[in-house]
Amino acid sequence: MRKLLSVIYYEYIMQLKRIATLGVLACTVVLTLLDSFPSAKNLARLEFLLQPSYFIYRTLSFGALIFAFGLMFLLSNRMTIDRKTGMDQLIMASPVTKSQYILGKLIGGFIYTFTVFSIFLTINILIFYICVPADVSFSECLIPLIKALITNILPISIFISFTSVALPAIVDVRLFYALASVLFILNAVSVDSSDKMPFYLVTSGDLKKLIWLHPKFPYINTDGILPNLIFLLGCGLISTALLLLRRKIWRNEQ
Amino acid sequence: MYNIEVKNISKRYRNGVVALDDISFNVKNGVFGLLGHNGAGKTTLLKALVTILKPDRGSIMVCGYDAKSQGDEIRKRIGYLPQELSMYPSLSVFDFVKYMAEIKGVYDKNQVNYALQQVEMLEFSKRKIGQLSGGMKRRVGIAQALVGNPKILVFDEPTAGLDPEERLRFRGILSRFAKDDKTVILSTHIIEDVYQICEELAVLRNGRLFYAGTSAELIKHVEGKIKTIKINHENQLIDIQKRAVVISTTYDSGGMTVRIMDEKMNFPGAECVSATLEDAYVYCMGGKSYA
Repeated sequence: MRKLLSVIYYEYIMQLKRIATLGVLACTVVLTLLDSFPSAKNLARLEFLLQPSYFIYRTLSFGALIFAFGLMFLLSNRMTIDRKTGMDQLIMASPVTKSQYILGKLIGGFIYTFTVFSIFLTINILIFYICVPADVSFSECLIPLIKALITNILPISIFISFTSVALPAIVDVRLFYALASVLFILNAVSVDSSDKMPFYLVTSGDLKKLIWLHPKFPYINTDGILPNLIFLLGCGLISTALLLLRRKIWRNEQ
Repeated sequence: MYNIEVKNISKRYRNGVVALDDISFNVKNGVFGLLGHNGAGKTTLLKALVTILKPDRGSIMVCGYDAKSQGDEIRKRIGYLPQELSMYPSLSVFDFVKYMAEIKGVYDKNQVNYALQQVEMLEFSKRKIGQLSGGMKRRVGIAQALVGNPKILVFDEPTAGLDPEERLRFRGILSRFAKDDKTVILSTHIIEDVYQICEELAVLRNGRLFYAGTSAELIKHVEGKIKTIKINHENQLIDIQKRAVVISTTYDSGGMTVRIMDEKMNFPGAECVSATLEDAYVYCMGGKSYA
């Protein structure tokens, strides 16, 4: 157990210390604020922008989508880099098991994704809270943030971290990039609707509706939430299972 | 008792290449050299020793544990430095060695500091690995192998690319380590390293064990066959190359001095000189000179 915790900890630290993480975070915060900063122009364009829950809802549709795919690319080399650098040889020559190594990488990646996503949303909502030209209480900002972290960011983080760490170790990384790009395009072209959204949406699926509902359609379409959740968690867990079952990546046990 | 016992191991890769062919040897305490040309099977043999790779046939016993059934016990007692290792650049020297220590089951920070002290890297412990020179990175690699005080160290080409000062430092570390009733397996191309610190050695050639024993015994094989000839023209060198193995040529003001291995005694009048381990290695490689 302690070895697993060590792999998780160092995997997390290594990712967090990457300058690229800071770069992706800064870029996506700027892009999010360009789209939904509570300026007079944006307030005139977006009817509900004075509501903190709508701000987070919109952030998930736009900035979070870019951030999610940025993280997918950042995480995609976590297994393959060990093979390229020879670190896999060193780790395999240590008394650590395959499951400790793989789960350490995956859980470390998950905690990292959840952390930076939380930072991303927190920075955005703080800027909103400071700058919004209306009487908005801190708790009005905090509640949708917590809601978003639990209902959306948690499954999104599992999807991003588990698939991005595991799949490039199973398939050619170029195929993974192609699949990720297709998914990004599908997400980017999807338009918000009160009807059931496609289940394969990462940040703008029906789960997002748990944070904010359009006043004209004040009901939650439960038919769409579960498939969206199953897709996010299922993809992550299947990727993990495939990686754990793959024999080629670990030492040739005698 | 031997620390490592290798019995009749063979390994054939999926592409049909026979990397190891019926290799057997034993290793006691001290520094044991492993010599051989590129592709001779040295790395494959080391991978089998550290239980990363499974031989098709044969058995390996390390510290009394069978590699087939007690791999984890062996891994607890081994420090390994692979041939090509680029460590995590974003981690500090201390964090990297601590990480490697923890996955070995060593959680004592003092042991990490001790390992860094051994390789004279303690003062750079906060520096990021990405900011280190090649020699310093090698030292960190050695430190991670030393951490936890393993019984056996396995180093694959550790001095490749190091400057002479770093190589001397490295030899010192290995010699100090091997003093304490430990075993070091040193795979290298650099014969000087083996000559300076290894009591025993093995020579691999095309996956087969060509020799296993002491350096002195190996040198004896070529004693009396190593000669030097002084020549004036390069044309004479071509003639010599046809009749003997040219080990080296040295140019001087009067022409050149050619060092040869005269197995067939084609040059009875040439001056006989004492043989070195390098001469013996050329002999082991089937008379393939690198001159």
